[in-house]
Formats: sequence, structure tokens, C-alpha cells
Amino acid sequence: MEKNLADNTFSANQERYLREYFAQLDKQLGIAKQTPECLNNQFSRKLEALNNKRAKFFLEGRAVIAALAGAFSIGLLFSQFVLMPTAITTRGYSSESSEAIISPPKVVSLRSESPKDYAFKIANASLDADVEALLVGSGNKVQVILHSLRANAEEQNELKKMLHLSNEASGDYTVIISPR
Amino acid sequence: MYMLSAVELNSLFKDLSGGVAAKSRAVGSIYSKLSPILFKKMRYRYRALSESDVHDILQDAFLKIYSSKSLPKSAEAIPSWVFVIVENAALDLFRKAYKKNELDWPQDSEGNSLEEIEVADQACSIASSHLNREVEDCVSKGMAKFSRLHPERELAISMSLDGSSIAEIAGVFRRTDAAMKQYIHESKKKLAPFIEHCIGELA
Repeated sequence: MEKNLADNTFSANQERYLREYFAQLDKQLGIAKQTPECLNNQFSRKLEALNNKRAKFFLEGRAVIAALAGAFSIGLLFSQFVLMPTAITTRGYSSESSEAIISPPKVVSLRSESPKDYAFKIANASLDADVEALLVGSGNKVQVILHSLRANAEEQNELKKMLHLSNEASGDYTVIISPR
Repeated sequence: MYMLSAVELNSLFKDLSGGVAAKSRAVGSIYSKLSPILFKKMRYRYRALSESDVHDILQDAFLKIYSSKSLPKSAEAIPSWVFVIVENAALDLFRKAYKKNELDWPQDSEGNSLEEIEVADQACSIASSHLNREVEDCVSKGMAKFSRLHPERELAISMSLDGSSIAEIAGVFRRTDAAMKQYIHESKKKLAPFIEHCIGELA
């Protein structure tokens, strides 16, 4: 018959003393069978604080993005008050080459409730599509000058959809966004 | 003792994969259910720190479950998954606390001779009116020596005597049931020389 290894090392009397020892030891060390309510509450507060910290970090992150978007829009707003239009580029664009932007071959006219906001959406999409874009604000209209669109380039499809162009569209485009 | 029912485990498993509120609720519930046994395990080992310090470290370690991107493989695996995360997180925190307080890191020094160990100052004195006081003191002193050498074995014996099942103890020690049974038997054999002179010959 297999021995019950865990049971017969100590006599009943010996186990009695050991059990009493451990009962007192656990009491001395503050060990309880169940978690006291005060500790549960304390832990809940720490969990809540961790949640709030994460939410704050997320909100602050969004605030940074909003501030950056705001910085672009300030540049465009300023352009509406000066005689010469202000150019905002999505890529590093030297002033010498800006003269080459005159009269690109294809023009797309769009209307939007907010030409400025839509222009930024196009600029964002051009970044994702790896297309050079130049934003020019003048009066209440915004021009987005796009260079070197490529036919059937998958990464440019989303951008072309915004401009109501087919996937086969290629070359340079000037998008003029007017208010509705 | 700490074992969760299948219904509780399934509910926790679902919530852990849920949104922020569900996960938060699950972690709070897990803390409530599993912290007592983990506190006992840590308290037996890290006695140089205060009770409140150990509670703080344990709570901070439980918060790692919430921050962790890992999930348990199944509902049944939740307790072992919790033990791994909490104990690993707590180990770092305990090391820092011991270093900060300039305390000697506890060692489970298997094989040290009895003569090398001094009687611990913090020997727990048991005082029960129905037991022989001299025997109690003798047992306390013997246990104090044993616990300094083998805090984990002391915990295993304690759990086996307080009615925990082999499966529960095996979960805490992350061993199979058979290995745990063997470990408890060997631990009692190791304990015997420390107290046999107090209570007469062992069975």
C-alpha cells in the first residue's frame, strides 16, 4: 500500500504544537484568510489613480497633436491678411524652386464648408501617400499644389479619392478649394 | 483557501480581455481573492520588512497585472498567471526595499549546519493555556532556526497543516501535485531534528 507521504511524519500531539505555533506566527505576521476591506479600498484607489494617469497622458498627447494642427492653421489664417500669399509646404521646399510652381498643367476645383480644414486633410493624405504638397492660402480660398502623382500607385488612391481623381491620374495638380 | 470557482474564473477571463472598466474590475477582484495567500508567502520570506511595507509592495505588484499586455491562456490558468506576474514584480520591489533599508537579503540556505545558526531574536512565542509552556517555547526556538534556513519549506508545512489542499499548495509553489506532496514530506523530515527534542520521538 502506498504511504501517504504528507501525513505521518509527526504524531497528533506534535502536530498540535506545530498548528498552534503557525496560528500564532500568522497572527504575529498579520496574515489573514481574507483581504481586509481597508486594503481592498486602498488598492481600488491605486487602480483608479493609474487609470486617471493613463487617461491624462492620452489627453495630453491629443492636445499636442491639436496644438501642432493649430500652428499650421495660424499660418494659413495669417496669409488671409497679407498681400502676398503665405506658402506652407509638407516637404522642405526652397524659395528658388517656388517660382516653378506657377501654372501647373491640371486644376481641380472643390468646394468645402471649411476650405482650410479640407486643405489640411489633403496635406495629411499627401504625407501618407509620399506626395509633395504645397498649401497656399489667399483670401477665403486655399490652393493645394500636388507634385508627381503616379498612376495606379496604391498608396496614393486615398488621396486621389479625396480629389475625385481616378487611380490612373498622374502628374502635377493644383487643387483649389473654395467655400460653399 | 484561495481557489476560485470555474464560474468566477470564466468571468474574470472575460473581463481581463474587456475594456478599461471590465479589466479594472477583474484586477480588483483578483487582488481581493489572491492577495491573502501571496501576502502569506511573501511575509514568510521577507520578515525583515514591516507588514505595511509588504502590503504596499504586493499592491504595486498586483497593479502590474493591469498594466501588463499579456493575458492568461485560459480561465483555469488565471491563478498561475497572476502568481508569476506578481511574484516577479514583487521580487524587484523587495530587492529595492532591502537595499534601501540596508537589510541582508534572505537566503534559503539548504544544508547549513545547525550550530552555525543563532537563535532568532524574533522567535515567535506561542502562549496557549492548554499546551505545555516549556514545550511551546522549545518549539518556537526550533521553528525560528528552521525558518531562517528554509522559509519556503516552513510555508509549505504551514499550509499543509492549516487545511490547504495539495492542489492549492502546488499552485502557490508552481509545482505539480506529486512534486508538491514529495516536497512537503521532505520538508517535514528536515524540520524534525529542530523540534524532536521538544516533543519526544516523531512518528
